[in-house]
Amino acid sequence: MFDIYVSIFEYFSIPRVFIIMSWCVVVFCFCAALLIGSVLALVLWERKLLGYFTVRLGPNRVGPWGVLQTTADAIKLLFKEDIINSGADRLLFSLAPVIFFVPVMAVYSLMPFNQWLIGVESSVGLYLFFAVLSVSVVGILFAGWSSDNKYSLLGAVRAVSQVISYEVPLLLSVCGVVLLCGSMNPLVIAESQSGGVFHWNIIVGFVSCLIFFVCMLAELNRCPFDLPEAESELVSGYNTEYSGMKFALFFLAEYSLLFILSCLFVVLFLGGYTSIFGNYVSFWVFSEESFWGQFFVFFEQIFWMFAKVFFVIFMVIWIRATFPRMKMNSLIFFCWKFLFPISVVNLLLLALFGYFAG
Amino acid sequence: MVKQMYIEEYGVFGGFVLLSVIFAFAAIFTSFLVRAKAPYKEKNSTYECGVRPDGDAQIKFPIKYYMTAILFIVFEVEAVFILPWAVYFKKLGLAAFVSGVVFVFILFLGWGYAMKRDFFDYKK
Repeated sequence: MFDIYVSIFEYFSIPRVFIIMSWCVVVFCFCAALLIGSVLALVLWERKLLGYFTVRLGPNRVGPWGVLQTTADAIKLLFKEDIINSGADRLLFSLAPVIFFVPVMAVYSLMPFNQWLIGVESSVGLYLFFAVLSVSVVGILFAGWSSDNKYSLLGAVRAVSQVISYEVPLLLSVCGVVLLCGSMNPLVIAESQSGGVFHWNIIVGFVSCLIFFVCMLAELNRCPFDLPEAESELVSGYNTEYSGMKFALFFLAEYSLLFILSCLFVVLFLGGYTSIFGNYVSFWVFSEESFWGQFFVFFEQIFWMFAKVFFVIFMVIWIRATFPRMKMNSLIFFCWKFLFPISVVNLLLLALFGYFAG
Repeated sequence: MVKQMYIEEYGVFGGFVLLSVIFAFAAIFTSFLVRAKAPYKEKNSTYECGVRPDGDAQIKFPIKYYMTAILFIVFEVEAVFILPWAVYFKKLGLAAFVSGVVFVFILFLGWGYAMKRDFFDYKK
């Protein structure tokens, strides 16, 4: 897409610097719209599903089927008072939601939503993804420390130790996929899994897939690893003292992290934007070279991507509705004594597999 | 399909980060323009479930959290070194596998030491 964009503007002999800058803004607008839209849809969907799981109706008052509920909540948060408690470190307190939000927003540009729709295509895409994403931990620590609140501090310390602990097996499980595909470019990884279900990495890297899913839940601070926000112990964790738009930024970042990590899960293990059948449905109707074939494949790939992503998110919500919370010591224990050695051994086994399978 | 990452693409990513910062501050600023403001002493006090705040909030927490953070750095650096190894593994062959096993083995020695000292057991 970037190449097409550049070639169009170079036809009108516009300086390259301006093309790059305008591309940046275009990608950002697309990603911001996607982020806000996906979060609004996700929160509604989660509340609806949790409602159905617990034999309730969920939100159903604002708009038909409650579809405007989250929009109404967002507008309400915009108008809420911004309370900074008297003991807080005001600068860090205000900076924390921004530091937490920006990395999550930034990694949207590295995610391929179809063969063409990717903001920054790079050969070190996954590296950049995790490097940038891990910055958001600093935001959590800032929020907890600057709040002058015991719940916030304990929640932040718990959240940070949990997120950084689970990042190690997460990265090692990603290593397995990188080894199988021989690239860190998400586009290449997705493309190498084309050709139906049996070409997906979940078949060979099933253990990697499970480790990644568990670590993803821990990174997201979601059930059964929701200790940082254990409502019965710590009120709301590191964002206890936040209100108004700053709380909304935390909320937005958490849910968009859920969305983007599910996207990554799909790209790494479930074939990304490729069709679950051998070939794209569009090519059954139109020929591969024709304009309409290409035109419909563009949307079909987006459809497959989002269908798989929402399936993964459904699994995450299902787990939230089903599992009880872990204890802090067993959480760290589970990560370092069980997941870490298993992920290392799994990586070496995958390396052996890769060596013998070519 | 394989493509080099040019400085332009880092530029696009840098611009994207900058725009995200602007987006976050713009969201806070918009709310600053329209939000209510009526602070008083009790509202601004620390929230402790309705009771009067007790003591300093900068409490002590177990040293094990620091241990976890230090170990994280060691093993995260391991992962950072292993990722490029994984990319070129198929081209490098058996020698890469052997050196990978040696590298991981040395790290496992450190992991075993940390296990022996109960760094991962928050109860002790």
